[in-house]
Amino acid sequence: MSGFLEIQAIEKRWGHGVTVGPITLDIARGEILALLGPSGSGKTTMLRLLAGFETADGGRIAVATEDVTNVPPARRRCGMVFQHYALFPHLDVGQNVGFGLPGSNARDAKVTAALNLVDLSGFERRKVHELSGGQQQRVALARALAPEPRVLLLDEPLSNLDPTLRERTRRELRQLIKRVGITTVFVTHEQEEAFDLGDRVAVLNAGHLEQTGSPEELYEHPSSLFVASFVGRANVFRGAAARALGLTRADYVLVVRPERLRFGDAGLPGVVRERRYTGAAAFFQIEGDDGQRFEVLAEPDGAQVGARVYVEATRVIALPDEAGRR
Amino acid sequence: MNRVRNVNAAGLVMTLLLAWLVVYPILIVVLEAANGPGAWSEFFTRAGEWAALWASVWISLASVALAAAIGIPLAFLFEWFDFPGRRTLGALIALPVVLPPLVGVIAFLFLYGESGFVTRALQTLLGLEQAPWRLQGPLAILLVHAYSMYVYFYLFTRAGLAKLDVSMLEAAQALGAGRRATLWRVIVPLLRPSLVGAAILTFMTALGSFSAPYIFGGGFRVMTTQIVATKLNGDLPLAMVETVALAVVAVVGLAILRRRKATTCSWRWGRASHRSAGRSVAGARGCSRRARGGDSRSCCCFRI
Repeated sequence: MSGFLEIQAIEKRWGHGVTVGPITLDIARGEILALLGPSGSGKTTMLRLLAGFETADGGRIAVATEDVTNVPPARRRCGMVFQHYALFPHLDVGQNVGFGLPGSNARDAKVTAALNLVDLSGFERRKVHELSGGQQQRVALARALAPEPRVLLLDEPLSNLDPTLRERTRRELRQLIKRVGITTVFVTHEQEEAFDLGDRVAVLNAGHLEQTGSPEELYEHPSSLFVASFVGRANVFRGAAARALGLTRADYVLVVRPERLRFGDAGLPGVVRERRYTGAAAFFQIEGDDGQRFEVLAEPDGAQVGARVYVEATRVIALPDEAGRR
Repeated sequence: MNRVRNVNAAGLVMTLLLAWLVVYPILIVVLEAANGPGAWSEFFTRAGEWAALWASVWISLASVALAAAIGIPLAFLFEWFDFPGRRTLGALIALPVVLPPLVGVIAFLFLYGESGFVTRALQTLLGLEQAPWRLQGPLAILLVHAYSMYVYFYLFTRAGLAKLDVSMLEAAQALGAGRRATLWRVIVPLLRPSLVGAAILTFMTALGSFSAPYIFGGGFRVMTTQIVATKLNGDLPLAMVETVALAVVAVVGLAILRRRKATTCSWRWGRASHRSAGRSVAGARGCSRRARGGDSRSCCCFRI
């Protein structure tokens, strides 16, 4: 499959042996791809390579079949929203949004249209510092979209917002991007954000692409122990506990999501050490007979702290033991 | 309670100290000047007085322009580019700020005066009968001012550049702005408060400069040398009027520049906390320096 945005074996080498890539990804026209990974995984470097702020040491980036690997950022036609928005404080909202537009009669109309798009009509003359965090984020988005870029790049766009606003903005952002139909790549370290906003998620770890797929694929069929543990909550069972849950291979571990474990009359024995009530359900921390601790997500009255319980798994994921390989 | 009393006492002491050291001398000068109505008419009618005042103004303005022309490019060079000896040279370049003005003037005299080291060396080398130049007059004053005052622009601009959020420059580039457009549409406006601050300091220092005009001025008089000459002639009331006239020019200049600074600063105060959250250009330079180990082509702050 060849995408609208093609990333072929792109690589960036820093000093001290730190390398990002080689990474190959194809992103379809209008698709939203989330780059998900922990700090230092190389996701921001990837975004900066796409924007042209970093020079690739190998590989190729193409937008609509045009090779842009060595095209400077000013001519790459990638709109970018920065983590702290990077709005120009000496310009008002209208001037910020119109910054990337050529000076013509249509400029004002385009600024108005871009502000309408983000529900900020009439904000043209407002000072940037007078706006709330959410409004600044929308101005940054309008500014990035106004020159009609081919690709939209978002660097942790919601990290500056408070949690309540973040959830609402996430939905609005997705709706807006889908309405515009622009191919989008965004960086986040939050799984929930990646799942909510992205059509597909690419998980990066230590500069390498671990897995790409839909949120469901990543959650239900992780390709590595890292993905299984990083994407969602995961109990990792080794040894006797893993064998009790049905694992047969010695060089493998068993990954079980907390909601895929349930209390029963038989199964893995243990004692309830802690109960964390979350409303609709509760997390029960169980200490197995071999000392391993794991979590069960069950109904709030599923067990009592201190009680001896038996746990069954309704779905398990067997994965090669990365700790064992190292 | 005791703490409040201590603060009040400290405030009173500071106020008295200020009144004694700042307000009292100004008051004395103004009162002395007001007591000599003849001196005022003399000041207004003598062409030499106006010429000296005008010389002070234009020398100060030209000093600002020259100091900016030297200090600003140096600040960009030392803040944004990496080269061997950058740190040591960067510290040496700021040295004039710690030297008393007279030291700089004497150094210039010993190096470039008619009997100066460089002048004599060139004279011998070229087999000239006379010194190749005479370090005298307004150009000589400007040269010394530029040497001793570029450091204000250098330090202020460097401080401004160090605080610049690199993502703003990158945002400009992502929006299609080239190197020049980014400079004029983003960097210079963001640096304006620093530049205005440096201009104020340079203008005020040049306006009050005495040693350079006194030693290199020759027949060229500025207001400071004019005041001393008038006093040496025994005309104290006129000297006081000249002092007041120079002070008025200084206050007007300060008011104009401060007003300019206030208009450019209003957005800065509003955004200070937000800006600090972003990455600075200095941070980005660190990034490019880190990259140098593996990739000499990489420059993450200004790749256009």
